Amino acid sequence: MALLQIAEPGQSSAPHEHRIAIGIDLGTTHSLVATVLSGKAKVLNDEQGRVLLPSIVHYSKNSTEYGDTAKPFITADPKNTIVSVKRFMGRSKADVKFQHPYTLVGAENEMPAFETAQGRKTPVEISAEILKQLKDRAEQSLSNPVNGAVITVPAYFDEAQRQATRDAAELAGLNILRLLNEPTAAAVAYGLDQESNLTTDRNYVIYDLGGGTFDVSILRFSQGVFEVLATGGHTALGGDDLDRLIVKWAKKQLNIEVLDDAEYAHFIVSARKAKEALSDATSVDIKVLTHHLTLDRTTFEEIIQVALDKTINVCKRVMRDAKLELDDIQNVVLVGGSTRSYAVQKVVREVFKQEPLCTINPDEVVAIGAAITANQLIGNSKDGSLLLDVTPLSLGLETMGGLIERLISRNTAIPVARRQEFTTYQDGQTAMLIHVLQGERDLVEHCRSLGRFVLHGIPPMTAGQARIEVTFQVDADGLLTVSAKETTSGVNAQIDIKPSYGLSETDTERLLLDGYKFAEEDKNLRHLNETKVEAQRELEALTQALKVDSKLLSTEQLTALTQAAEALKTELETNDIKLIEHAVEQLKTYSDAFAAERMNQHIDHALKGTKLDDWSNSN
Amino acid sequence: MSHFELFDLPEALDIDLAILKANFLKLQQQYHPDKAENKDKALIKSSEINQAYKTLSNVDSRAAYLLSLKKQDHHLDQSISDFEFLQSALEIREQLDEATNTEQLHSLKKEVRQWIDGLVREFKIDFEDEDWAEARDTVRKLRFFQKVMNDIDKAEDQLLDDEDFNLDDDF
Repeated sequence: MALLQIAEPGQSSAPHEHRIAIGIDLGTTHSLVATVLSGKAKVLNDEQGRVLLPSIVHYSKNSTEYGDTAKPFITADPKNTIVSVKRFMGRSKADVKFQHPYTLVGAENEMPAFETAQGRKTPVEISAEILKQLKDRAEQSLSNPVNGAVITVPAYFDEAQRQATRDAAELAGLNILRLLNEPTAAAVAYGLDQESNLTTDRNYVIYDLGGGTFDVSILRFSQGVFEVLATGGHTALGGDDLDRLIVKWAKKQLNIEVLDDAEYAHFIVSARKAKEALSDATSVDIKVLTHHLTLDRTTFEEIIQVALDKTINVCKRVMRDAKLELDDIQNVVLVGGSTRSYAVQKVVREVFKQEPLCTINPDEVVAIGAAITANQLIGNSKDGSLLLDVTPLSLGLETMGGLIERLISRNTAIPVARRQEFTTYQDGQTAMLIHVLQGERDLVEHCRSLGRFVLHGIPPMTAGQARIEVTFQVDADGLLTVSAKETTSGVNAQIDIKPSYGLSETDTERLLLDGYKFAEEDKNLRHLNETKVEAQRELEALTQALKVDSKLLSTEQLTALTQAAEALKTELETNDIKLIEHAVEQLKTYSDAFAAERMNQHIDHALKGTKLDDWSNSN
Repeated sequence: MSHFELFDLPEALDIDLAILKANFLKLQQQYHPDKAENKDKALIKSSEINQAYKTLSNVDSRAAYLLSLKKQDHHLDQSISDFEFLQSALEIREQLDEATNTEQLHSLKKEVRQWIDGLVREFKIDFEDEDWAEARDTVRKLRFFQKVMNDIDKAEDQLLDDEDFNLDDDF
């Protein structure tokens, strides 16, 4: 979801009670919390002085361990030790296609739960446990209850993933002020939203290489507004991969074929140490178990080139998506622990031809930005910003023939409301199904269903007479409410749409791409469906007309007409547009004659007993 | 209040998009639910501002909106009846389907841009002459080309992806 941020010119805030607001970076590998104290943002550590809380929860029968305490259980009790729960947030069981050691329970299209020693735990509950830890840490360290929190999410998170994060915060007892995109938080931390010169646009690249994920975003700061122009990334690329590449090289050097788990763990630790040491030294000695190796910078750079090349490709892609050239980029911000490595910094410097910003600890920069935003949103600071989200995917309704009528197109700034009128399809229809969908394709089956409800109590009318007004309202937090109302009678129905499971990123991407790729196919299908719907409507109208006026036809005429109608019904099963169109044509010859007969009859009938004036006034 | 009045712009097809954006942001700073006291009222007002901004941002929807202000926007969803136009449209679609490199897409884009520019000029004349049927037809054509333009952008991305981008290869 792209984000626009509006900065308001600085104003001195009226003196008032300071309210406690925190910013939380709820990360895949680790999470942390920050707050603004005396006008300065700072991260909060636990009693042992640790800032980073590994995003790990271990469930044993009688106790729950978190963070560093839970870490040893990753190998000792993997099934009950949940790591990287962020990757499960807002996903259905069917969406979870990556490898993991857990037993997931639940229906395919629902949010799954992990089977643990303490029973079933959903990703939302587990994330809530992590958030609760950080909330408790903040309250202990600040000796005050927390009044509100900003939690960061990746820019590409869809509505379901955001909703899951929001639900987790609620479960943790946090008053959530706003979900903030991680790259925007990083930019806020560096004060890039405080640029006073509003006459020129400024573009920023946020390069975020964490332990296991890579994200790059391009933000534009224009007329006092932050806008996410493009995002890209890789869900399985990070510092851990650099370590693995070093181990792979070491194995080759030492002619080792296989390492057992314990040996491998030793190698990984040594590889990480070597990687870190190379940021200060040109060459390091690696001693692992009984082996001894030397790794210099040149070799190290060669080893990890394959991984860094991938990040460069992603960077090039988002630059293209944003339609920007290198000269257009004013600043590059480094986020994520892996950007501490000199090799990563070197690559970024070479690719973007400038010195990246890395003065704030890259593990903490996102939480710091979140804390600054939280402080503004809760009202402690008035030089704050306004966050304008946009809809990541189009929202629409199912219409006849499995087609989608789009009410809100993607990338529309929220809040937004759209109203559209629909009508009934059959005579005497008293109910209407309102099926709400998300996606870019024309057909219902290719989009994601968000929810459905039925508008009951429509007064019986001729088809096409009822006026059903459907309203889509997306509020500032991205929550969609759909209401339907029959305007001639005032009957109404309403539903709040809360996606219970999410679109995966690949799903979001697929839906977006499909919308374009299949435009032609959709057009044909759309034409076929429209023709079928039209034909069915004709048949329906004909049946109704025959009920009333079949006496107007001779036996031969009636037979010919019903035969043509039957023929059309048969062809409708074939999905062959040519055959259907031909049958429609055939039927039309007979039905037109019938319609003319009826018309004459009705005019005769209408004229009977009425004065010419009455008749000409009616309509 | 019309969308043009809302953003302090003249009621015309040619507008300064920089002013539109600046005034849009100014209004949101005032009316967005995060900023306003009365949240319910702000939700409605802020939604209206967003919708109005979206409508005026694109030339095809802006033209359609100008027609709606004159109460001349009916049947805009009807299909285009200009046979010659349809033929050129079909050709451009085919070219898009067959394009295999970025140069072809670039030249196609240039062509579509020229079409859009021409249609914009045409609309202004239709509108001036109050020839509403013609103006409606021009809006339909504008919509068509706006969509083609979006599709070209997507095709371009797809092509570049195939050329130099493969995320899933393993190392």
